[in-house]
Amino acid sequence: MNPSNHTIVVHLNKHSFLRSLKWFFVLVAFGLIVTLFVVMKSLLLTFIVSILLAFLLEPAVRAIENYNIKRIWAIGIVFVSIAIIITMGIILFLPSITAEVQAITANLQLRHPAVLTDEFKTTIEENFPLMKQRGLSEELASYLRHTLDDLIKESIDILFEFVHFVSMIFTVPVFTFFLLKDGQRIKKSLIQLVPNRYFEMTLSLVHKISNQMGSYIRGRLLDALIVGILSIITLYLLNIRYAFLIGALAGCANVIPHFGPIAGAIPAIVMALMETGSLVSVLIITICFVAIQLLDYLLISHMVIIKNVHMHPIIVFIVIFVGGYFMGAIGMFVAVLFAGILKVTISELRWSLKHYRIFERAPHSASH
Amino acid sequence: MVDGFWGNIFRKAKKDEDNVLSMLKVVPILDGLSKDELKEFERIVHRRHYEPNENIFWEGEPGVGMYIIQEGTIKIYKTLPDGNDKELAILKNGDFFGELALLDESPRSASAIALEKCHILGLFRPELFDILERKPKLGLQVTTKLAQMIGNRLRITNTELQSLCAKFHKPEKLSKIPSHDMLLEESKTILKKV
Repeated sequence: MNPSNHTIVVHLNKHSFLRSLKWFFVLVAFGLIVTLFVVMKSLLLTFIVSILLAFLLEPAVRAIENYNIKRIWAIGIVFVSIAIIITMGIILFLPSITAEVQAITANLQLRHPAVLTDEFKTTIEENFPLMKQRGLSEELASYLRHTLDDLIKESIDILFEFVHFVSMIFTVPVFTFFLLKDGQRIKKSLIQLVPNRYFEMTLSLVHKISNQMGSYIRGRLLDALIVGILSIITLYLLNIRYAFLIGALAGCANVIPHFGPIAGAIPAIVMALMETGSLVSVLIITICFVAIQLLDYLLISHMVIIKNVHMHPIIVFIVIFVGGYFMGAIGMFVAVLFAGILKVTISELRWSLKHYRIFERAPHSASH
Repeated sequence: MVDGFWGNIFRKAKKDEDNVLSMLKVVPILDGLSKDELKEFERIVHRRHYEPNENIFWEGEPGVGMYIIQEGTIKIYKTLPDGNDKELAILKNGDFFGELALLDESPRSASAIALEKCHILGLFRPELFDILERKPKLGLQVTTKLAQMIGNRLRITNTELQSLCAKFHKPEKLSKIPSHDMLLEESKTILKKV
């Protein structure tokens, strides 16, 4: 036998070939999703925000449908009502918001970040001499200076994000409208594609996940809205400057579990420190924010029925980081909601796989 | 020609819709509904196709809803502890099964398998509950029918159990109508004897 004429025979049966093929398609699909995610992230973000909005508005549409009104009209009524509320909000609050924004912009334009941080340092040193002795005020001021420099450097990116945000104002309502109108039909058509073997499991799973998702998203956003309003009222009563913007920020931050409430309170505390320079006002604001959080924990979260999706702080941190990296500020909030949805999905999937026993089903033995 | 093409498509869709509506009309829980109300259900039913020997559902798995046979034959069977299957019923066009799963997620009491190529309509709990939420009057009508149907079945089961008890026990014990607990006890005794 000639040793150079070796023939390698690979035994590949049909089963392993199909398995490899399946894995190949799974990898290709995964690759496509990642590519789509990176390339079309703005479109994807618009789509995700629309889905969240559709979940938020669904109960209102249903409530109107109960009065024997066709769904399309019910959606129309909800959209018109929202438009009226937003217009009224703009008319009522626009002057104060504009004044706040203008004041911030004027402050930033008039004074160089270095001057601003020096002022901050002086205020701190005057009120807390202990911080000066230990060099803490210098460290704090240099941190603030770096942050402001970075903010100015990133202002072009922020401008791009703003353009994207404006475009979303027009595209999101259109997406949301069609998701509300045809959502059920789209869901049914997708379920129709599932093979018979997994059909009942998928149907049950899809409905459970969509119900849980709905209550989670509605709960989180309503909770954020209530906390935001409470924060604005508190800051306004305490006569803190930029009460509206800081309160709104605290509300938005409340979407993020664990870190959100702390991150939301920081701007208010810093502002109080800069305004009054007294530890008492900082203490009052801290107490007020803790009280709002307690109220949220004991009352509001029960009222809006938040689906308690517990996430470990490290997971929340990673999710915020990834969301922020790919999609910016909006991405952080969307990522937290998305992670909650993912957690609900995984727990429901585990329940279904256990109860539907799709891997244990024995073939039918009787002859017909 | 284009008109003819679209005309054919729409005619086919209309025919399919009429066919589904006539199938739904015969289902007891949808009995007495108007055409518009039936159309609401026509929108939520799932059309499924099964090949011979393909299971529709398996015994012991959570039930999601009921099925109406549009075309084909279905066998309902139970798997015995020895691993063999015991046939319970053979169902044909227009028959329906699995309606109790419209109420809750309790496990299926038997399996269902297609004996030939089958076209089946599926009406499922999540979508029924959805109608109940969106159109409470219509939903109430259907759930009342479902409750009536279950009540009737319970009455029939009680009567059958009574006659079974009469076979195994002395007649004087049946002088009064047995309570639910008593029937349960009796059935346990009978099962032990069997």
